[in-house]
Amino acid sequence: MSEEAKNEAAAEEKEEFTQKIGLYICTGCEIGDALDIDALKKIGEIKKLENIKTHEFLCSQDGAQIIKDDINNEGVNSIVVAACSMRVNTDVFSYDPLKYVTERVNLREQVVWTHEPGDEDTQMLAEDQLRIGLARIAKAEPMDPEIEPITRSVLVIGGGVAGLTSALESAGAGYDVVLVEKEAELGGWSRKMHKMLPAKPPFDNIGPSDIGEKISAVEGNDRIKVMTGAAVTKTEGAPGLYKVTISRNGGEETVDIGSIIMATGWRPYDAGNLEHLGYGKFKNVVTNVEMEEMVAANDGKILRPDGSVAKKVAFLQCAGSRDPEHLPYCSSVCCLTSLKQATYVTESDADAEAYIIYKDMRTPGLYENYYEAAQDNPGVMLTKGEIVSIEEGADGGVSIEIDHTMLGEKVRFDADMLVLATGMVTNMVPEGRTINDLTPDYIGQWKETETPDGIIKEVIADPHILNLEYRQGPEMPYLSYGFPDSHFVCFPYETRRTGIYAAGTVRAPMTAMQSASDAGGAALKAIQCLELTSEGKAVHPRVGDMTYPEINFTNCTQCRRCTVECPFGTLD
Amino acid sequence: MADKGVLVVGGGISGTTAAVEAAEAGLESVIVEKNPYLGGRVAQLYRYFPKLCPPYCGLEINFRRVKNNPRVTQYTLAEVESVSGSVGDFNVTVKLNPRYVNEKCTACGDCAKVCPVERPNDFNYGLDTTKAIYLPHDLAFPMRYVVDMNACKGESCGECVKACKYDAIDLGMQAETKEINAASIVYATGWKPYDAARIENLNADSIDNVITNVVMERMAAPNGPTGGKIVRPSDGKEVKKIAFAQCAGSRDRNNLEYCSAVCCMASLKQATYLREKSPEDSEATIFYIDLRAPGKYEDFLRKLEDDEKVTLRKGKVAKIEEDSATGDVIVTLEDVLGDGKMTETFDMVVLATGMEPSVASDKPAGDVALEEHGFIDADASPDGIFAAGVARRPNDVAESVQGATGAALKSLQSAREVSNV
Repeated sequence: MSEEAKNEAAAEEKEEFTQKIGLYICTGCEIGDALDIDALKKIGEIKKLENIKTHEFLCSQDGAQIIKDDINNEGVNSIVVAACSMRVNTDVFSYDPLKYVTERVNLREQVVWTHEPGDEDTQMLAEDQLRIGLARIAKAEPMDPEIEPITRSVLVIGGGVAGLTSALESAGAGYDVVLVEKEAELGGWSRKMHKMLPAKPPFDNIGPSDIGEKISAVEGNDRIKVMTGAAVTKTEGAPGLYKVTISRNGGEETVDIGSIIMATGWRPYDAGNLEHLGYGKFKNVVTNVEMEEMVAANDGKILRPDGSVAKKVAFLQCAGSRDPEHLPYCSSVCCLTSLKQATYVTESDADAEAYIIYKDMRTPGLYENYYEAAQDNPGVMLTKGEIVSIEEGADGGVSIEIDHTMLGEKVRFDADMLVLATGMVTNMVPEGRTINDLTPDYIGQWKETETPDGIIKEVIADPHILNLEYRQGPEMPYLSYGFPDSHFVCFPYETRRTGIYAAGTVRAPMTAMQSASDAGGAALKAIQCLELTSEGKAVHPRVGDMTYPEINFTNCTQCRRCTVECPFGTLD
Repeated sequence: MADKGVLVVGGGISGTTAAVEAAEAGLESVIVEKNPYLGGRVAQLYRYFPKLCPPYCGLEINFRRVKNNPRVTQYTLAEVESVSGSVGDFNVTVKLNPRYVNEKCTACGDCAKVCPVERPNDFNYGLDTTKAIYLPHDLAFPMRYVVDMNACKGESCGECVKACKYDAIDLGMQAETKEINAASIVYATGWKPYDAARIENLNADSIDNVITNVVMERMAAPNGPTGGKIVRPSDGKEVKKIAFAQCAGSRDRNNLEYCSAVCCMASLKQATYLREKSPEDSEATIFYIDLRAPGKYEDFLRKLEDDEKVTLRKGKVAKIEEDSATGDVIVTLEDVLGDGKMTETFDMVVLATGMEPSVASDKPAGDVALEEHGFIDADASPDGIFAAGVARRPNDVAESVQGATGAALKSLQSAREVSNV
């Protein structure tokens, strides 16, 4: 049946809906002992209901069967279950919402379990509950879902490892994908890496990047349309019905999109703020990102910015991280990155040495295998310690003094070069903005408006990634430090903009391997949103819900609350 | 045209997530769980880090998604016996062990009242007992009693059968076998706590007041064996001074070589259990090698650092002894940042033991590749075989759920590849 025909059939059925109410009263769970059931039945009889039944255990197979029998044999299409809370036994008392209406009258939790059994007031409460239920069902009609033809395609913003993987995974499940990348080339940070962190068992070795294969797979996939040097300039609409404007080469085009994966990644913390660690002050102090790019450019040779060979390289962990003045959080990958770069050092020359100074070596899970491998590497020295001072040493090197080491005393040592293990900042934070200077919930500017009730202060969000045409603002809200992460341990893909899912390092600091895994999950959520929307259903946490509000304009007081709240401006 | 579905082995947080996420994307999903309830290890936790929220909140939501979605089928007390076939067409034989209680059960509990036999309560790690017919725990899903036939006296006793008003108990129930066809299989077989008795220097077995972190969870839980009181197993005395020994048997070549990724955060969290219950006069010390609080978990660590009654000391515990007169526990360690060897006495010591993949010792049916420690290497396994949660690698709940959602996507791909042919 075509979607249109289905809608027509549903509409016909709706017209034919002549209500026949069945009332089913459960006497189990102390209900029968605490209440006068005959008096309850009488309420139904006054309403001239033909099907009134009681059962001592309505949620049992036998009990549920009497309702099913009435539906099948008696034509009951409106079911009133006077038993337990609507929050329990949802599966037992569940009837096709397109054909039937169901009302749950709570006689258990809200009446007999919380009030004096056999008391007159308890009985009155139960009877009132039942009258309310019967009054409600008299006005109910089977659901008439709004099903619109939707676009079954996924927009992926960002062409790094998370974006490429999201695109491939979505396409692999049979969906069309539009991939938008702001740079001229795909690959993101992974393309700039000399080698990648361990990504498969036994997790004890670094390896060449597989990003090239991923890029080829994306470019060779018929379902994926790649747009590089492009940016989203406007996103309008709702899940399944987005209209996204993408600008590229000075031109603009608008595409129909079903759901969106935001995989816009990270950028390094601005080391310009780390002058106290020698950055910008001493020429041979570099960041881990600069180190990576230098090693990649020099084909594995370890050269200082001044061009000379570095044989003794020091790494300072948590440079600006786990530091309330800079990045209060841990970026999760810098310990591994320094271990990797220490390996570059020892691989470059048999005599080369790497010194890693850390607060806590964070190589969780199976990454521990790689830490162990580094500990077995005679060229790598590891110590817990805190920097006391950094000075420029002989030959342009650095002289570092550290304290609180495991040696029990202050230690000074010289190195040819110092690498600062700087952390990750989510690209949700616009360029030029620091994470200590974020407005709450949305990244933007404070705006003060004078009203008769006083000055109202609100945040006007800055558009830069999604450019949503939504009332709540142009971008995703964030939780802390700019990360548009989920608030829920159990639901990491919970989004505050249904249809838009964050994946990879834009959401939380993580390795490339974790980003790729995260991208798969985000792709599933994007697909799920399409599938459910196409059936007129809501996504989690209201999954399967086909209801939507209808406005009774005769009762409207024009309080305007709905026009303010509706992100889509439906009632403007 | 219905896609062939996915079979998920394991009904913990990862398996349940994989199944419901796949089902909500349109796939038929079957959960095969060996316990008499879904929820796995997280059902036994008191709270999650870093929000200190109750795990049952998310479990309840997921169980509701399971119940209300006709595309999800779940079997408890079920085990995979054999797997044949390949991607798109796996044939899985599942053994359904008898529950001895049918779906007429209302969990009224009259049966347990008359049952004459007690058995150790494995849900509470043996800290208390249940009757031979028992509800796995307060919030069990399915909410139905089960008989432990190893403890039950059988039909000759039959007291429970007589007590049941609903005709729900059948002590003669037999095991059944089911054949399930699926396009892919997700192994979400989870973990078990590392056996602390195997860590020689920590004397977990011989000292009463040395417990493991999983036991601490049950102790702190209001529905646990002590009703939420943190007390010493030896004498029931309220614990005021507690120590956590991190990496107990982890990052250790004689035990678990790897890091379990969650124990640091778990101990920090458990320190808050004690600090919350007696804020005035409790003290907690955490002995660690490296404090691993990645990402935004750093905020949680900072909160503990700011509590002056919480001490974080770098050093691996070398020895644990008992003061036989008082029952106190004496901890010896190398304080690497201080004066070297030190000893300190505590009311109770919690060993932060790690997670061992369940399949390491109990290899699952099917052609599944395991890496050296027993975690499932899906990339090295045949097409259509995926892993989620701690079966894949040690990680926390959020990352398990994230990985399980990714496994749901892979299942969808396996199913679609078939229907496209």
